[in-house]
Amino acid sequence: MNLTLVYHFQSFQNEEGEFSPARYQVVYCFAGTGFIETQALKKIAANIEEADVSELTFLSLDDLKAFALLVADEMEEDEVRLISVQDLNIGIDGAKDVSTFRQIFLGYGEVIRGEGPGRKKKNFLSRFF
Amino acid sequence: MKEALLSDDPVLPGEHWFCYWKTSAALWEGRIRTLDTTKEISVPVYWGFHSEGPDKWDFGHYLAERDLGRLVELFVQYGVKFQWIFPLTPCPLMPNGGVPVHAARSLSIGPKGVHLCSLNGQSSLHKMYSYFEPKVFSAFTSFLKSFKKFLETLPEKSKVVGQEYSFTEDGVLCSFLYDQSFAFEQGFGRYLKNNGIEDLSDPIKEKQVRHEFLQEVSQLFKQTAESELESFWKNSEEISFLGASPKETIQRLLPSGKSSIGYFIDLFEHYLFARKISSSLLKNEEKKGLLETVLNENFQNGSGWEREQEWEGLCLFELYSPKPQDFFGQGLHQHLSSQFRWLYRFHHDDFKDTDSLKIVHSKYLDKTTFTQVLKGFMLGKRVVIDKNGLDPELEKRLGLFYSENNLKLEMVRFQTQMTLTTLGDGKLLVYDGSGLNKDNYGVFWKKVFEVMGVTHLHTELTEDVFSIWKRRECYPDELNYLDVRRVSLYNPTSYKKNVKLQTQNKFAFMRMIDPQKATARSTAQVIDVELLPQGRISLDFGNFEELR
Repeated sequence: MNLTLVYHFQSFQNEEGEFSPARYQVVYCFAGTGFIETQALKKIAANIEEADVSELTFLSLDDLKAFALLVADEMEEDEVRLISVQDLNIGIDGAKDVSTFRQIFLGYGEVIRGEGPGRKKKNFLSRFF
Repeated sequence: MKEALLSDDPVLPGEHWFCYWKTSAALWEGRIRTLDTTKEISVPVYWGFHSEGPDKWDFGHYLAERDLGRLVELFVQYGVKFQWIFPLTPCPLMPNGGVPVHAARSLSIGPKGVHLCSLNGQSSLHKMYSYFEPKVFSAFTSFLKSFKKFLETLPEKSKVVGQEYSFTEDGVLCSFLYDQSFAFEQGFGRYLKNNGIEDLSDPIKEKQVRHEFLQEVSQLFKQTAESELESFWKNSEEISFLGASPKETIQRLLPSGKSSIGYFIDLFEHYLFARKISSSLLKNEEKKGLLETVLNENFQNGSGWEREQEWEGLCLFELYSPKPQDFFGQGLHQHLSSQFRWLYRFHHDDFKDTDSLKIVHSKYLDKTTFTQVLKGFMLGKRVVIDKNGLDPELEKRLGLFYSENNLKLEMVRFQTQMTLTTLGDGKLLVYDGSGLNKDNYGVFWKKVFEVMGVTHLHTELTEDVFSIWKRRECYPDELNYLDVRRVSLYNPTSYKKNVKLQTQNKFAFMRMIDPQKATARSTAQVIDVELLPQGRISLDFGNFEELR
């Protein structure tokens, strides 16, 4: 299973009807080898401006994606799948067993890849070229 | 052949639970015939399974698998003792959490916004449906009435235990009743209206009111079940499922799965909080190895503290406070964790009638609990109270208590002001926690335990070695001792670990039991244990000193 990040989007409204900034909170982050330690994620989140490191919360989807790519870099993964809690819940609603539950993490959400020149490559040939 | 306590068997998934709906009724007899008649079987009532539509419940008329009368007949025929267990919250062992299909409307949403769901031992995903949906309460009440009528038809009176289920995620306990779905929000809106609560602009207050609403609904289900089943009702209890949180559900489908040491950490956390556990969701491959051993040896009924034959859990300290964190500020938890690991437990409810040293935080004390605590001391219990933060009214009552009972007070100054008084076997030590020296907490607690007469072996354990202590009365040929203590050591890691036990002239090493990938070497007053990866060993010690 690829690196996967589940996030929760929340938009808060105060009493006067004014919206507080939207927030994207990291709920779970894992790869086939297991969950990534929260402390390690917080360390990476510190590289994103305006991130609430203690809550692992970001002000925009772009910031969340930038964070996700940094995690992918750290984990030496080429891509990362972002799944919102809402999408995950739709998946759970339709899942019946471990196999259909696993499919959520293979088909739902959005897969992003880093495009920067400094991005690490980990395929077999890249070790030689 | 007797039943395997921990197996991949969906009918007997663990802790003596018998899940009748997991097999054909035609096969019940074959299964029951093999049960160990010395153990009491618990039969979870999957109430949604008995639904034939709203307010129509079937106990075998339409479907043989719902014929609980026949099930009881078979238990009686084969001399198997049993009790019913009735879910008071969604139950992860049952499809829909136990809720009948016609009432299963809203999926419960957990604290992190994810639907509550759990994988069972057969890899089925069970989704929890909200108990805040009005149809659920209506169906719940209707079923209870019908179930009571069924129980009344049985020749012998059977007992019903209500169970509330929970899981832990990242160390935080959460009830399976928890919800923030639309059904919850609707109910919460009605609750606010009925209670005239309008201003919820303060997020802390909102959180508190939501919690109160949850507690009220929890009580509603519990009290309804208790009053409907009246004379059949035995008690209610809380059960924490291993591997049941949304995070663990994901973890369990990953190729790496949840590690054995991860389960050990959870299991021993529940042990410290004296919670009953259920391992019934775990597959055999998840339980196998040392986890299966520790469950089989200590948690057969879900609780590691309960008496099993002659052995009972050895608890030297009971810590009373609304929240365990209350003790963190005075280094007590840290001291116990390093010097008396897994020899203490936390309580937030009733004051227990046990011989452990009771350490009471002032936040625990109100008029009722204060009376219980003083009564405990009068009955010979040993109690330590931190008076920092104590209600002035209660402090006044304490002074009156001293004078009315003509108690001789011994004032001791050790880091802080302490007052010690004794009455028969009872000892009461009151100290002011605000005066403690934060650099010397360990020294303070060592002195307190010495004064209060706590005697135990000094044990040096590394972080990842887990231990469970038990005690039993002496056999006739062991009259030199006051009691016998057994420590079972488990190493779930992939590394070799060492443990050192010092008998300190107060204990005698008696024997080692069932070493597996482990050795013990006894020298003068020291027992050195070497545990290889996945190793376990038990050691018995005779206690020369008085237990208390």
